[in-house]
Amino acid sequence: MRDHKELGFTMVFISVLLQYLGVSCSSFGLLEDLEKKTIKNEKNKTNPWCSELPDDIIELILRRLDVLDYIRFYSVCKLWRSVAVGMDLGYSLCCRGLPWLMFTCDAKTQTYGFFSLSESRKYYIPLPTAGGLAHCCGSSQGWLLMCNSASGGCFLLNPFSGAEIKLPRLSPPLAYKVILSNPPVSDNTNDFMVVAMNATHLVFCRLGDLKWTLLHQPESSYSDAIYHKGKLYAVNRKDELWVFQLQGPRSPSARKLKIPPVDLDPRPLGRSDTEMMTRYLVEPKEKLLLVYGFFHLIRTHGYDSTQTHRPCYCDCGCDSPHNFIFQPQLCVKFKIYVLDEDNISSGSGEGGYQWNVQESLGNQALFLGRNTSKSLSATEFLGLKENCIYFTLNFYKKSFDEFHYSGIYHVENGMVESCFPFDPDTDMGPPIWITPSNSI
Amino acid sequence: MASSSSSLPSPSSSSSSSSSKKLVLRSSDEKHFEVDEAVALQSEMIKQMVEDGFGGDVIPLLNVSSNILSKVIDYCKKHVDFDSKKKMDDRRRWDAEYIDVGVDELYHLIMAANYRNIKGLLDLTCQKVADTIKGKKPKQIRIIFNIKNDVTPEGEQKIRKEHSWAFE
Repeated sequence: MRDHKELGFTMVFISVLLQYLGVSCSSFGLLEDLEKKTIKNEKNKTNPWCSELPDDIIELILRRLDVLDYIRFYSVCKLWRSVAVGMDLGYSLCCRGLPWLMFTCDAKTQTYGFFSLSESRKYYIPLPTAGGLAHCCGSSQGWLLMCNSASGGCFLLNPFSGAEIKLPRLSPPLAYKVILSNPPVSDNTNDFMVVAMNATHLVFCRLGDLKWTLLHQPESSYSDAIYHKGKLYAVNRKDELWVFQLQGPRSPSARKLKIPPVDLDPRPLGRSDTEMMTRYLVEPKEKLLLVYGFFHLIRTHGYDSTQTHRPCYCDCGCDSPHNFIFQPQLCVKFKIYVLDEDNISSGSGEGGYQWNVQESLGNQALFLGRNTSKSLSATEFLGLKENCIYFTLNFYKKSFDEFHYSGIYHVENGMVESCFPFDPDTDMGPPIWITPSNSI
Repeated sequence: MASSSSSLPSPSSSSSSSSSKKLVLRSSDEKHFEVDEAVALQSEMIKQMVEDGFGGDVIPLLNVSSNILSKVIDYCKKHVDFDSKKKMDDRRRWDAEYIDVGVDELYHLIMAANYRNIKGLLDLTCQKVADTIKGKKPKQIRIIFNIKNDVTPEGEQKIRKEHSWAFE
């Protein structure tokens, strides 16, 4: 089809040239053919949308759709389908659209539950067989890192297409974050790198590697990592920011940067079982942000006549079992710093970088949690709330059941709202953001 | 539009229309449109032709009808104006009103923008198609675009089986 367009272009050009020289177009055989073709099509009364729309136009339209609309689009007619299926849309699709919230990954019912922000509705997608045995360790660029906690067997899974990419075994068989350097599409697999972190290790592998390579073993476990200007930045719980140069030579180099002291208001109460502080790294518009998240679970109790003799972990001080149930209330606060890369004083060492407090995200919205942190512009996505942090939270504390939450934090006034209609009976799993991708 | 704005004449030359150079465009149904050169140059194809020396005569546009050409010229005129003022909100509002057209007209605008190589208009029209499709089922999309279902029942069954969740 592209050839046709070029042919058309050339013919028009020739016709202009001929007209310029005073020669009649109709004497030119090619143009007659073109006219005949046009007349024939008019006779057929074919709808041009599904018969004559050029491939590159269909491609331009497809690049503006998310994975769901993409699937529906290619079901409309043969022409659209042939173009959609023949195109490698992996990269473009996975960068488009709003993240979905995966709120359950249920081995019992064999389904993943997703909430689509743009459509405000839930989807249930069947779980691939292998996915049922493994648990989800994070998401990046539309893929989930899945790991079998018994065998350590590890793979990337695209829950929307069902595609899997085998990775080396993880030992220990656990991770809580994954960062893909780029989507694993066919034409750039050379640069493709998977970085995974767990409590004690930061490891990476390339496609085809037989084992993970240790990148760094910090004194304190890592909280988050992100690619920024070609380098991997990772922050740990000891408030150290490490910068790794991974591309190029095989052995990566590392450097430590100073990060701002945490300035908390109000200060945490120091109760380790009800408080949590997390650090996130995120890259909006080529800037590097360091975001501190403070979560305080306030335990109150309510009366439940159906429950008796249930242990109560409320803050009332009682420690004997009685018939009150645990009703958590969550206090959330985020603090945002931006790395000042314009004023880097005498390069080396820890002191060269300055971090500034950022009071507003402007028109950006951040997606933080067990996904690779992401920033999107609210002006590009209908319904996305600007100057907000869309976060997911998983509390695993010894004194109460797992506590999962997903919400929207308004940076301007600190208000938190729930981001989807949560149903405690079915929405069991730890929530995680994932941007649908149809790659591979 | 960003790609073509650098090569446009400066705002002063485009705003003083009386002294600026004119080009004559001819539609497929033999109607003539006289436009400022800056307006016509929004089309990369016309720009190329002018650079190659075809500026002095009538420029024939073989497969663009007069009603579509006049609509395309509206777009180009307005965007020459926008390029010199840089008012993003005004531009967005105007674009939204401009592109509120039926699917037949939308199709011809896409083809004209593609054929004349007017990037801004091509982006706007393709975005309109995408926005129209978003959140709709294949059946609804076919009704909107008046498309006859030519996918075989077996083919449709296969797609539905692979991605049943997307059709719920």
